[in-house]
Amino acid sequence: MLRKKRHVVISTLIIALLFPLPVHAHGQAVTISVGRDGYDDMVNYKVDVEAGHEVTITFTYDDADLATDNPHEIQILGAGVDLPTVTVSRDHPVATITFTPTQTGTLTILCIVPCIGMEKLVGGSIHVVKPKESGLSTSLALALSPRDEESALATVTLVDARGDPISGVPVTFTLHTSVGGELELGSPITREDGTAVLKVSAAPGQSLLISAAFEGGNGLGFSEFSSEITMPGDPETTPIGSLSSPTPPPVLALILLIVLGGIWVTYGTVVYQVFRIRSGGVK
Amino acid sequence: MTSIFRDSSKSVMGSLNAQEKVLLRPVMEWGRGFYLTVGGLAAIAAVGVFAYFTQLRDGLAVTGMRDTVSWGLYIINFVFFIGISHVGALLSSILRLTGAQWRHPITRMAEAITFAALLMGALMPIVDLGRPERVLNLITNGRLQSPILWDILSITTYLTGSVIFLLLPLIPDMALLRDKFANAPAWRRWIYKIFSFGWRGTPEQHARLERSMNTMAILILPIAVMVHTVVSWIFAMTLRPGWNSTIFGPYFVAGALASGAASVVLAMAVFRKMYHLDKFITLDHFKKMAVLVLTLDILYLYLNISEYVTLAYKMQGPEKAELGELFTGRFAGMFWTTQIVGLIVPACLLVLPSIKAVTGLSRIRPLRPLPLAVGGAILFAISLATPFAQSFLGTDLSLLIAVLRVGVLMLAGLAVLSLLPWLQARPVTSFVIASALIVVQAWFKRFLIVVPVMENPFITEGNAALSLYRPTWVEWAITAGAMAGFLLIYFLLSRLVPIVSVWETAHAKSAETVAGPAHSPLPVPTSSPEV
Repeated sequence: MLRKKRHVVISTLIIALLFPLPVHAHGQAVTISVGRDGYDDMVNYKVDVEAGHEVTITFTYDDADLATDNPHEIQILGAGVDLPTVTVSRDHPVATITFTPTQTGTLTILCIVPCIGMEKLVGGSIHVVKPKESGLSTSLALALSPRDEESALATVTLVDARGDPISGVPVTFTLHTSVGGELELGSPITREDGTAVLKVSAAPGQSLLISAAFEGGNGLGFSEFSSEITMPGDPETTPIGSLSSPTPPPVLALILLIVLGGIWVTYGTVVYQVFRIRSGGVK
Repeated sequence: MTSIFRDSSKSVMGSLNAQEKVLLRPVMEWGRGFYLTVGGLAAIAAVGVFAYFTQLRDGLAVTGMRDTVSWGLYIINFVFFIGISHVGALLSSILRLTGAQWRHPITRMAEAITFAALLMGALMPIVDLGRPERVLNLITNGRLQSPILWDILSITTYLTGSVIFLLLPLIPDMALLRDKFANAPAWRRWIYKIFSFGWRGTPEQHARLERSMNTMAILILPIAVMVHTVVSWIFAMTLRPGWNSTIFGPYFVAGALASGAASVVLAMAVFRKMYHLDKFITLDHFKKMAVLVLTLDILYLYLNISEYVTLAYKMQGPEKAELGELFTGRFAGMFWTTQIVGLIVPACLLVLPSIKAVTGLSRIRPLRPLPLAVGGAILFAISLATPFAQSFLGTDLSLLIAVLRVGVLMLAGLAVLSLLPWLQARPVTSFVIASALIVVQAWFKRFLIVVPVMENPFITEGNAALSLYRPTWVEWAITAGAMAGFLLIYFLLSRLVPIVSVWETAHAKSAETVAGPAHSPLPVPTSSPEV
């Protein structure tokens, strides 16, 4: 049991080093290089900016090595913003746009003129998140432990700067999925001792990367923590349901055959009757 | 008018009785209006075809669809057309099975809507594929467990059944055209000969035709319900907030029936006006259809309320974001317009001719056109002058602007009230406006079912693709082309065969002579100018 726990801790540390979590745009300034290979800075990181605060995005031209000019006209779309387009080219390698997003959500960045690599320049995005509450600093610790073969327990402990538990506030758990997305798991309320627990479904051998965040408020500041666990046991082949199996279940095939077969046979009978009409309708 | 015959149509007209003359005139004479209409619709359809070839050449990147929103206008059109197609078979089969004699002038219109809408509807998923040559993969590599394959099977079955159901009652009319139009162009004579199936009107032929029509009338009912239920399953069997609903089957069927019945009312009004069918499509027909449309409209409204209130009461989980977009966010204008202008207002318009109190509104002096026009002109002049006055005086006139806005709203309300007696005296106009609103609502409702849900998936992935959907000109052009194609097929069909069944109408007239006229569920205003 002790060996398993050690294994979990070590794997958590290794994965945390290998896969950095989303970074926040410090000072609300982002630089994005735009070239035929896409948006370089968007490849490995999600850039978060806070709603209600001014953001400055600087686009730089990354196609200077091309023999001909490959200008990019960039547009930022999204709820709550209405921005002019900016152009980066050989003659204007840097373009800056400053705005204040008012709503949370995703801003998409796309190139709107024909250019080399245009197909890679339609998927850039910037997440506009809620502003982080400032106030007394808080600290959040997240521990993940296997509960049984099919679930893990995510236990968070929220304390203030003095180490006193903070109770009665929601902590949001988010699962970072293997396809790169985020799935909000729930927001349990912390108990008297500052802890909140959430059960997370998992399969044997599955790795879970989970974040817990306290939004802050009422004079308390924002805090978050991420942790990963690899569930004990060997990965199992999940038994496939009959509707998900490669071959159709015989009952379904039979039902479809009877229903559709019955209909088409009736069609055939009607068409036969029509052709009997041609012969004068005589039996 | 240009006759389709090699020599004059006078000799043909001479051989027809009065009823046949009226019903067959659109088939015999293709005037300038016909060619202009066909040309206009074909031109719009051609723009759609050009846009489609652009999409074929450059790929689906020319559309607004991306990884997050992978279903757009094409799937919206698909669901819309399948919905419109619904009513033809259902309406016709129910009326046929219940022996409703008043059905005869409208059943073929309804059945032809089914045929034309299904052709366009079935085309849309192929357009959505991007690579049309891969459509066969759906059959060769399709999984029997997938609702997509069920959809293909059910639509194919429905289209086949609808064609048979449309063709069966056409046989005697085809025989009539074959016999009367011996001088018609060869291609038309060939069509009439092939599809009249050697009809001579013998008792044995009548018996076989009646038996076949009754069989199809029974069979087409569950097929039609099945088709739209399966269309709804494509959404409901996907794990997405907004689609994960148990009532999607009846919800889609009710919506389809409402829009389909409304489209039949529109077709009735257009053909009555265009082909001078006033004697055959009477106010009584409109009133009966209005009762049907009203019932279906209220049923669909009820299901809307049930669906949204259930989710909105909790306002939790993944649905929260999607509902927020619908109720107060990006789609709020469209959502509330579809619910109020697309469902509630039509219900009011459909019952309007039966509300006696409305007549009294015309006696209220402020509701007459002159006071309203004077009031409107004054408000308009003040609203034009206000910005100048604000800059000239340098004072804040926001209170005056607010008062003006309230005044405009009140005036708009009074204008609507003043229209009510006018509309009540013109029940057909009232029904047509209501039906047009329901049909337009149906398209936008499908937009609201598809797009906001696609934009709010369970797992948000901002880097993967654009999450906001904005249809491009290619999608709009293909949509316009599909709508024009639907109208073109429908219009050409009405010029190839009589849009009102000649033999069934004659049969109904003789039955009516014996039994007396059918009773209308709604009172007919004696002063109505549209009777």
